[in-house]
Amino acid sequence: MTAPEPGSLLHPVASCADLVPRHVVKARLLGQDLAVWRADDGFINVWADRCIHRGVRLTVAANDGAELVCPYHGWRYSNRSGNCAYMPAHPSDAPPRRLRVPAFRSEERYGLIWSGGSPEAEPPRLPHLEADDTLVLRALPVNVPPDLALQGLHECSYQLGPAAGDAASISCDSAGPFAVAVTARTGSTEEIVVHFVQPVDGGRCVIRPVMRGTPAAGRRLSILRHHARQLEELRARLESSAGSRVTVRGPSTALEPLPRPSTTAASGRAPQLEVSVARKWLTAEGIAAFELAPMSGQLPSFQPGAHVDVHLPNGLVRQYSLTNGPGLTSVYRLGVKLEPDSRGGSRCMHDSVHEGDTLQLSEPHNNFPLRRDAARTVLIAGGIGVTPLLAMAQTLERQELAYELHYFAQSDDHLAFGEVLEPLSTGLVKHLGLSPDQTADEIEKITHDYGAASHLYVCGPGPMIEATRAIAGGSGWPDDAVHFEYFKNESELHDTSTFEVRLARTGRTLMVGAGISLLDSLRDAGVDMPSSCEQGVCGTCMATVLEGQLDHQDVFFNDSERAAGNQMLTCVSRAAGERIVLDL
Amino acid sequence: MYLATDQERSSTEYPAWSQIRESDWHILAGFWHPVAFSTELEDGPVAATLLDVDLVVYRTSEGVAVAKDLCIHRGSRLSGGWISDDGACIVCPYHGLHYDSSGQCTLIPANEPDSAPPPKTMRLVSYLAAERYGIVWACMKPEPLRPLPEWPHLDEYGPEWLRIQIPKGTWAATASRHCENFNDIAHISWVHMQTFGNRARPVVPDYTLEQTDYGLYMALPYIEVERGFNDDLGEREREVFYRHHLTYPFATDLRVDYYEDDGESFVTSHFFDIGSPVSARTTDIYQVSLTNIPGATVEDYAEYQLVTNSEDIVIVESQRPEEVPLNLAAETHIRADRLSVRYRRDLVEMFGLGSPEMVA
Repeated sequence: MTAPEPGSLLHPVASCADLVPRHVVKARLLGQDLAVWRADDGFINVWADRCIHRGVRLTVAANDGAELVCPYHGWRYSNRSGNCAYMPAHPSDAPPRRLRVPAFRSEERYGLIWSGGSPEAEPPRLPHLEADDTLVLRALPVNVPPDLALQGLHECSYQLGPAAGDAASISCDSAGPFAVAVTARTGSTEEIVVHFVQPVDGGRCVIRPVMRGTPAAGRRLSILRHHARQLEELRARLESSAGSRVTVRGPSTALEPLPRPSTTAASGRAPQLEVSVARKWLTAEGIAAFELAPMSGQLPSFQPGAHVDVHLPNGLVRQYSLTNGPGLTSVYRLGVKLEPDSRGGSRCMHDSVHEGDTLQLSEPHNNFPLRRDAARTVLIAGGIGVTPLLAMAQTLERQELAYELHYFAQSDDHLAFGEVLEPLSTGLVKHLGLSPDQTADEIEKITHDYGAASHLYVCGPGPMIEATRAIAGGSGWPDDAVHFEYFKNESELHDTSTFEVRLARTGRTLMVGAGISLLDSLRDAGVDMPSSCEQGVCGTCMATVLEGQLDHQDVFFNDSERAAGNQMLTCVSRAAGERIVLDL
Repeated sequence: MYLATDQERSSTEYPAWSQIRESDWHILAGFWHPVAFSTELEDGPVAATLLDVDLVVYRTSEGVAVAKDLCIHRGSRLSGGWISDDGACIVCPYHGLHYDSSGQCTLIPANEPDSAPPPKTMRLVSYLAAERYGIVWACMKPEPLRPLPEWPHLDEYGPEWLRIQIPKGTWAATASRHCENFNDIAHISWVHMQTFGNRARPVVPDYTLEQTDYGLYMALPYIEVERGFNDDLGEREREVFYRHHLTYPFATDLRVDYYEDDGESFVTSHFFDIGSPVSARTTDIYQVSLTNIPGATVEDYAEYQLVTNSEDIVIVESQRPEEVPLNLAAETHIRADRLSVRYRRDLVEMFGLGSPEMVA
């Protein structure tokens, strides 16, 4: 029997008790440095210990319960997905979804955290142990290769008996390819300790002993001490006998991160996610709430203000904002108001979509990004327009940033998501039962004193958005401080140019439509174009231009390179005219 | 125990144990790098390491000199020696051999006094040496790729200026990681919260960035927080203007201008920073400041700079990989990183650093 590849298994990387709330723990597995942290929702993240921006170790990052914050430039990474959620240097940008820390598997069993590169592997299930009744003993790093440690555990098992067990008979057996179980019998009592070996790299490992059962009260400490001492002795012996034999320090196998969720968002319109309706309830008069859970894997991350396209059973496609705060990543939570003149969208959601049904979604898009650097943040919601603003309010609340959420509704019965509003009470102001004129007066009061670095976000019925923009503008709010999204808006994509691209080498011609990047169009056409930042900064997606005027939107080229007009970054730049020819 | 009979004295310039890639080593060896502060030479020769080569830095009546820290006679370290009484030579501590500032051996005390002078071939492995800005510089190639940084205001300054020499530091980081950090704006609001950083102002505006004959020029405003380091006025915001002149590969003149709290007096400080590549992942930091802030003292200024450095060092030493990836797709870049992207591109395009691994 050949031993399985270590990379095809899950291995322990920490004990559950190591994961103190709001901390980040360092680990190493198969040559890969890892940052391990538990979010407030209980999810355990095992990530590469490296910020994707400038390589700072994420084990020195702050764990705020839902996001890790890199200490170098304050980049925030989301629980579960590892996606970059916010870059403080550019607060009005929504970070591209491809900005993601490589994440690895995380499982809990026997009081240990298990990780690895394999999407299919499971932590071992051993007859020696019971899942939720173990005592995790002290782990010990050993400077010998894993196979020598396993061999040593077998050979020295007679040394690893229980504290009070002079008469014990000791046996040992392999509990899988990376563990040795030591069983000590004294009369009718049996003590079992499984020594799991975590392969750190080619020359090092950590021995993680786990004892079956819970010791009698008062015996715990003496057992811990006894085993720690025995293992210390074993380590000394292993390291001195391994001595000169240990030369390999490099990784024995590479650890593959989990595949990133598909990001081949072609037009952004195709359904890419399958979800089931985990919960549906009436959250307010005429407003149905939905919680959508992934059929498999994780949901893509999102930023406050984002929405998804929902593909309805009747063939219609509707956009709904995510109300999720930063702590809620296991489901998408939507609110849908039944429109009296519904053309089939909200009617279908209310009447034909039930708990347990399957729906197709797009990935989240964000045309309504939230800045987290404002001196004053004002959120103005009209009716169901509260949905994206709820996500924003919860984000600001968690970061302890001041905000006001002004919620205009007909009555108390029309206020959606009361359970979310409740903890927001300090920032929440309700405006109930007002006429359009009274609403305008209130908005006037809210916006009358504009101060520098204030930002206003409004979502609601079209006339209310228009009124708010006009009133705020009259009070001196600059255009770029007033952010709005029509929640009935059917066209999310920015209205930009349409042009033709000819690929000189293959003779093919593509059309690049409004709101679609040249890079995505090329990929749709099967051109394998590398990219990295997708923000016009890094230059990875550069193409040589043979003909045509360019609309450069990058910050990569200097003036002379720009003027030469023979190269472009396909992620952000476009044709200035109707046609360009690329050397592709 | 023994080296082979066909082992030559010094086979190559490139030290075989260096973790710097050989192609990069030959390029970096062509630049001027600091090897000592002038003040370090007051008591005789000192040792330094540059690009994994052990050096002796010494001053004779002819000026400063830099050579391999190796007496060619029996391989002892010259940095353990002294300067001869007439000030003309460095004296080897083992057998008293004398070498002048060009590295020529001028005296072998064990020979009869009337013996022929030592042959012309008997000389140290000497390198180009220069002294400017209170710093001794060395270049390990006969033709430097670039001149020394041009900082005329540090050559000559009026009585209103105070010059502060910061104690030399050694970072377990590459010189380019240090240099990028010194020229990085976005980190100030995060890393420098004990000194001048302002967490409330994390946004980096689109800034001026120009390529120049010496490297890069960057200019932009920032709103610092003055934390009353040397006064008891407490925290207050202060609008400053930064001008960075980055001389390739590792030297920066950061000029900071602002109005004092009275809104009347306009003050300027310069922070000169040079990283000297000791080895692949070790960098000596040479810093000198100039300021015309009334009442500034050397002690306070140096302490403030050292606190600032201590905030950076924990971050920069934690960056992985230690080497700056010159493949731009290997890290993520945002608009605030325009300088660092241009820096990395220029290291490749102007000097050929990070050349692809050759396939044998």
